[in-house]
Amino acid sequence: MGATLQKIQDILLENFPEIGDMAVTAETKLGEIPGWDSMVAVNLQMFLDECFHVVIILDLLNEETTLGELVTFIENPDKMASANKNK
Amino acid sequence: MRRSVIFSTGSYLPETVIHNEDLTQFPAEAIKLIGEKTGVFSRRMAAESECTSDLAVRAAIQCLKKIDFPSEQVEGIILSTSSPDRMQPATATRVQHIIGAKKAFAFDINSVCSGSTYGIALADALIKSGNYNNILLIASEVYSRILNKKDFSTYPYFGDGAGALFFQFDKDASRGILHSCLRTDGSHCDTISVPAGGTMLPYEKITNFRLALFTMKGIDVFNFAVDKGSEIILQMIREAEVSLQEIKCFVCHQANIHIIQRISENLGIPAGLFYMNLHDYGNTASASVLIALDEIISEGIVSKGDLVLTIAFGGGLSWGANLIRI
Repeated sequence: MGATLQKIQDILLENFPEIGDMAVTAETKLGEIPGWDSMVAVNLQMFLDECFHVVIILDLLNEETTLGELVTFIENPDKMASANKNK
Repeated sequence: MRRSVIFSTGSYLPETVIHNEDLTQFPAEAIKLIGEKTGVFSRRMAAESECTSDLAVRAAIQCLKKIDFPSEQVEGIILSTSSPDRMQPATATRVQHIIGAKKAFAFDINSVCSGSTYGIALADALIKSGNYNNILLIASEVYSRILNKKDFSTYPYFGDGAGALFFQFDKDASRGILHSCLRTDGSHCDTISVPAGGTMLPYEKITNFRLALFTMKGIDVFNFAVDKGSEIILQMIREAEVSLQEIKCFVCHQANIHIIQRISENLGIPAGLFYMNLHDYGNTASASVLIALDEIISEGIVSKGDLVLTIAFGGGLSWGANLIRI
């Protein structure tokens, strides 16, 4: 999880500069990112695809999703389907 | 009493139409969100050979030709743009030269998307001063050149276009620009910006190319627009001593259909009284109000004697409104 989480943190800091000094951890929810909305979610989907070559479906990039969950989806893409089913 | 009356209007929308489905740089599953979240289904894009002044020239020529007004007799050109040809000189100067308005002064104003309402107020003030008898106001934007093509939170919203109004002095006090309200809140000057390329952050100091492109904080802008758009309508009717029911048409900056719908709901104004063209043109920044005015007048949606209220909001943050009797 460590390296993947670090990369996600780097992506967020580079593309969402308003995060500033806000602590960004595995427990941080996407909705806590300053300026988060459904249009910005698409940007994050593209950044993550570019970096990890994994497409996280938009329904799973909602404001309640944590960075830890993003790590799970990236490291185990097969878990995305069941996560989406449970929504 | 001197009044500034709209004697003619014009607009120019570039020929190239970009539909949402053409935005293939974005994930296919996201495309439907554009229409849902913004109300935009297509937008125009300037040709590679066209820059902001070219669009402005086309709108201006159409405007003057409609009434066969010789460009040599235009006394002043004000151009509203936040996507100028260059940092300097004013984009209006090239327009002045190309249309042959040799007598006219020409300068730019920039109040981002509220620029048209500011421009109308300024044109009116110049004519009312008694020093000028006519002013050509143009708003022209080519946002396609300053947007991040890969930013889903901004790129799909905007389109290119230009609008023009020709004001002349008239002694008929019943017509023309009756009142303008202009407001600014500079404490939120970072909410909408192109951060680099000026003296604050010169190009040579850029560490990330995205800083040279347009950026805005979407949720904050939405809430601001709904709040201040509603507020300035109420300020206008109070100061101008008219009622909402007397307004034939509300011409609101075409930023997002949900902003316009919320303003309509907030004030109990029938949504059908708000003119809309953003589904076809997207957000054309300061040009949106002038393009809409050209359309409602040219298409006979409003006619002589009707009251029109323009409302716009944008970077600054700034917002404005004009009450116009056609």
